[in-house]
Amino acid sequence: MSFDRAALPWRVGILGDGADPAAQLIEEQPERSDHIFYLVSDPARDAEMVDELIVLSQGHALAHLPALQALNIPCQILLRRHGGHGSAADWAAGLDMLAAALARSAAPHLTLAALTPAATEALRPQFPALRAWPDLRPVYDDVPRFPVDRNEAQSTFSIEFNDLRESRRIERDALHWARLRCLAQLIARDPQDVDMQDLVALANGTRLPRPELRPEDRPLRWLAVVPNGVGLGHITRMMALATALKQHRKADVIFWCFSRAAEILQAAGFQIVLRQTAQHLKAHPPAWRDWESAEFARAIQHIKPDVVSYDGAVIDPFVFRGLRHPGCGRTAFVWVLRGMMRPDADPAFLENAQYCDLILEPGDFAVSVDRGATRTRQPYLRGFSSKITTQPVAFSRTQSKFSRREAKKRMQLGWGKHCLVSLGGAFGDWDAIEAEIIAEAKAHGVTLIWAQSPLAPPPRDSDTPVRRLFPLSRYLAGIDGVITATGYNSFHELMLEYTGPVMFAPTNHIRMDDQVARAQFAADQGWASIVLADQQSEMKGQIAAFMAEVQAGQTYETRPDQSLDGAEFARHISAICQRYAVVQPEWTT
Amino acid sequence: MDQGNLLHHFAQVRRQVTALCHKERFSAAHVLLTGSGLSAEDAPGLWEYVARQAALAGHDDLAHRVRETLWQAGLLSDPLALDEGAYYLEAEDAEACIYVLESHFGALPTQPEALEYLTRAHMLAASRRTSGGKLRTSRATALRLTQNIELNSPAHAIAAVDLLRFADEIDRSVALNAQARATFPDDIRFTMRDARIAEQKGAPDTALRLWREVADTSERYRSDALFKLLSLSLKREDSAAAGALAAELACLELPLDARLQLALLTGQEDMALAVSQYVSENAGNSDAVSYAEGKAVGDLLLQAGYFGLVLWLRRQRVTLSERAKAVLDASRFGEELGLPLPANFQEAAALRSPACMLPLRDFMHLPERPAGWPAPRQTAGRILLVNSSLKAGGAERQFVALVRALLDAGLPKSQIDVALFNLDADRARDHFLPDLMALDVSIHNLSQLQIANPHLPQRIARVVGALPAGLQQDARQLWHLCQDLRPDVIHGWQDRSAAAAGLVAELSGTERVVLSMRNMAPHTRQDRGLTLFKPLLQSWARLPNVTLTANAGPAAADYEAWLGCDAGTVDVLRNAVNIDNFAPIFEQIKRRKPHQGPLRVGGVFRLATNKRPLLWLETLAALRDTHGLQIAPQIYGDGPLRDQIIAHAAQLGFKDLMITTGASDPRALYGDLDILLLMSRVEGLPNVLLEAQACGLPVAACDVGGVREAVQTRGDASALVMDADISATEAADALAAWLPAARAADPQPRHGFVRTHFAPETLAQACLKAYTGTAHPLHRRSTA
Repeated sequence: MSFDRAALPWRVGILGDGADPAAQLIEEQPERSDHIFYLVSDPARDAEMVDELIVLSQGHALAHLPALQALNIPCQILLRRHGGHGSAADWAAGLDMLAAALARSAAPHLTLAALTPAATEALRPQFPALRAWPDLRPVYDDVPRFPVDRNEAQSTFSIEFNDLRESRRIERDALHWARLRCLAQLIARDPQDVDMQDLVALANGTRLPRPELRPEDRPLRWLAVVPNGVGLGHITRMMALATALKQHRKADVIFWCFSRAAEILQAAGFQIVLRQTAQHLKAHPPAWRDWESAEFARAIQHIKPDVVSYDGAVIDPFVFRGLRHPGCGRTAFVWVLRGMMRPDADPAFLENAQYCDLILEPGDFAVSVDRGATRTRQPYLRGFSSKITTQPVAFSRTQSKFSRREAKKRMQLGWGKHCLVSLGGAFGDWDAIEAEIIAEAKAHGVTLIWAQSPLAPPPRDSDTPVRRLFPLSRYLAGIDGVITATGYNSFHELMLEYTGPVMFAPTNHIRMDDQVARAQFAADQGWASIVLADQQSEMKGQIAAFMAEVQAGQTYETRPDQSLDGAEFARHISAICQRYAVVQPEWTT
Repeated sequence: MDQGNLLHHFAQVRRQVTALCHKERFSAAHVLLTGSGLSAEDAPGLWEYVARQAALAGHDDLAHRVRETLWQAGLLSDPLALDEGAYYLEAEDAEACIYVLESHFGALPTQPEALEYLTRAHMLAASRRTSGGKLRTSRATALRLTQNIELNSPAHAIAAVDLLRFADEIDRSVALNAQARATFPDDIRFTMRDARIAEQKGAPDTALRLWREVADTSERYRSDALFKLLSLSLKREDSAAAGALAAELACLELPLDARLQLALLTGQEDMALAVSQYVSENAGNSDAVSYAEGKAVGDLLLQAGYFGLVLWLRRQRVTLSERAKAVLDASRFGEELGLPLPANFQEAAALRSPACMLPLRDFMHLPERPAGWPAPRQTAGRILLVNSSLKAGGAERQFVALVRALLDAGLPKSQIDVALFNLDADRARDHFLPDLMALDVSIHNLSQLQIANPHLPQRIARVVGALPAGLQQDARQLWHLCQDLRPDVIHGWQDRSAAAAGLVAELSGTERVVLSMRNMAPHTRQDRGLTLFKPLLQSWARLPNVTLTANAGPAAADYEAWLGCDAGTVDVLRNAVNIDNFAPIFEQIKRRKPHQGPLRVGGVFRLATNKRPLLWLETLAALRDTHGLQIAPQIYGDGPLRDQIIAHAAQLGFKDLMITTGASDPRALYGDLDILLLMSRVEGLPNVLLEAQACGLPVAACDVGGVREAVQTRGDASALVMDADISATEAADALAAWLPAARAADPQPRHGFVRTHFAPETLAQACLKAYTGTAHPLHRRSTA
């Protein structure tokens, strides 16, 4: 089979700082929308990997001039006006130096460009062959005004949400400029910084009125980042959301998965890119992060997702670095951030809200007892983010259920009462509870079944049958009672799908949600009973009472029933994607 | 063992040793010899044989070990002593080399190679002693080792020339270098020595010519020569030449450290960061970044104050010099009381010294001073006045005037110490030294300060070690002096000295600090080298014991704008003119009849871009051509544009332009002038305007800096103040309109203006108030 280079995307090497707005705006040139961008550090070595090289400033050109002159691929040197580093006199000296150096030895493959027509006019006397960069793709005009200043670490701006005008702030380099130009009309604050004025003029480009939102038929591309969290909550929530999007937006979902439970995703038929954390690899975290950022950026450029999502409280910076990489600028970011944080958890993670388009809080039945940071603070008041709270998200809602007979058969359970124990997760102080459960089950003639989790150790009692039940909801009809930890997923799955007795055994791990509050809430509502690992004196009685309920076949009919409205969720995501939609000329007429 | 057996044993050992050496098994031969019982005393020839054979085969360390045994036995032969000297020289252990050679051959060897090695070793020792400062060699040693010498090799000749050169024996070094050029005519390095000597002697034109010759003829030393040419062109403010040279260098395949140096020299921060980023991202690839390049890049970045980048390179596993590592270790990055670790290259690049160490008290974890500290004092206490040099400049003249004014105000001589960073005669840094010596105060030449213990305490070294190179050297020397003198007040004069003085005062806990700037702010002067002082001055402007001053209202306002401080942060401490010095010449000018010949127009200024000497000439040409005046221009001063001025003057028809250098006597400067003209682009409070008016001369100048404050503007004797951006034609028109009345006017108002407004007593009183903390902050701008 012959190799057809022309069939591959055009590869553009960028020599310079990837955080430079100029680097991020290249992809907004209409003819470059299908190009793939690489950050290059050694033009002599890396030229083999790219079809074209763009040098972001005269400073970078001077640093690598002999190597650039020796290239055998097209190389564009972008000349910048003053405003970045150093004085105006030094800037002028730098241009003089480059002009004189280029005059010394002609290199036809080297071309010169400036950011804007104004910059081109200003610099052309010294560089007659200078060309202005082409206009960028048009963007919509109904966006707030946003000040940018190289000397300010944060920008403060005003934005209207739901007819309310709010003051927002965001770190200077939080967003990719291709994203930023879609979100705001930029204003250069420092009149001395001519380069920034050029960047702003380029970024603002042509602005057109936004048409009425039309139903989007195009399949959505969704890249879901799943961390290696505690329990299966991250995975199951994302599976639930992905399933809803598949159903309502024909979404193509790919998981960027660090979780040890990736097999669940694979079994459910999702595409996954299995990743390793620095901890898994025992790698130096900054070095790992560099590689992961580059790999993530490469994946975004190839997959071209409309949305990148992340489920979890603590987002590794590689995600944002990847999203700021040249070529990754037309991707919305959705942070799936459940509530019920422990009240003593450090709220610093909420700063990440500034990178988001949407913070999606999966609803929690126990929200009225939520005292965590997501409730007491307003994380969405950062950057351009908005927030929605859905009804509880449970993967079980999308799954068909087995009949009691089928479930028992599949679980290989005989006659009698069976209680599922799922103390899951990799964390928990279960020794005392486990011992009491085994004792009381025996005492009440209840057979225990242990839920196998890729993240949990097996039971200490080797006689206890272990079953792999994912998703659990499909098997619930065959089970007479459940003792479980109170993670988001288990809690909502059971409350939504199960009518039998449930006993919650909440964990109190610092990284996890406020399971005690959630379990207590359920107990207070009369939906379930509760056993606490640190109240050993009451444990025996509580478990005995629960086992009695299991044996008696008690049912609970008052449990809540509201869950994610997939269509509405898909509409929210579509609206977010509209922020970065390519302006369609016919819509503007 | 009897004699026969001994001989047999010896023969056997010798045979075996010879055989082993023949097979190049020198270690085995050494072991055999050691185990044979034949000591160096018993069989020196065998030991020597092993040493020689091992050295010949390149086994230097083994040869050295064998020679050491012979040395300890006192049996080292001349050739082996030479080998041992060469070994230490190669290992750059200059002290050991000198010890071995002088012990064996005496302090002045007759053996030519021994003399060569000894000369080179002394030069090496001197260069290692400098630790970044100025290289100095012992005059006695230099003279001893170079008297009537036969030049043994180019390396010997170079070392000998340098020994003399750095002992300030310039003429002898020139002569020896000429001898070397004749002996080794094809060795370009002697041309390079000539060029360096020319630089040292202040002959930049010759230096430029010679470096150009090197650049054009030597491929190997081309980039070195181009860097020298670039550096000289920048000093001469010849931006066109500098740009062309920089471009030439930019096109060359330079090592990474040289490319970084090019960026730093030319102020190309983007380029410097790009080179650093390359080093950072290719740290593990020895093909891309060699061990030596990595170390050199780290050192250059440290010298330039890119503190965070040096740390970043270390984290990227770039090999750094021991000094760089020590500085980083002392800074305690990432520790509880240290600086935070940068998360990426951009954050690291923003971590610059000295800014990242400010406020210094926080960085050093010093307790806060109580509110109100320091309390006003009755007397100033011991005062240390610090300036860069005593070269022939207005600020230096004012510095001496300050000392005189303080003494005249009643301060005892014993209470005043004067520290100067450089008093080199060969660079004319000592122009006003006789005037200062005449005042009989203690003068400390910091470049030759004898320091008993050169080490700094750890907490001081932590700060000083992290400073950019120039400031570090200044602060180090001044700190040692301050520990000896324990002054109550440190007064730094001009930006560079002010930065060092402020730093040392804060490090030493000095009670009062006065920092006097004597020109417009660096951003107006476009002085890149001074911009790093900005965060320091910003930090000190907030301290209650620090007084910042400038010598004119506009200069103070310019500094305030540069520093982003409130108006009134920088006091005005105007110049002082001792009017009595000008009384005789004033009387003479007052009495003289109008000069009938060509109009004698004087210009007293440094021949540099900011003084706009070409505009000065063009204005006079326009005055002559448009208004029919005969002009006799006279320039007093020196500087990088001298040749350009002479050429331009010739073009304009001023073939007899007189340029006088080194004059400072008022009579010589102003006695034969009709008017004084200044066309500067930037000025603080120009001293020459005050002095010319003190002599009664009409003065004309452009409206820049503190010019308006420096001139008398009433009546016919008023000065002419022209627009800052005036053209030559417009200036000529203005001069032509102003001249008749100005020349005819009574000069008394000019003289009186200077007497009234620039009295030394005013300067002294303002300083004493600042020294004692009794200046009322609301009246800070009215100290003159």
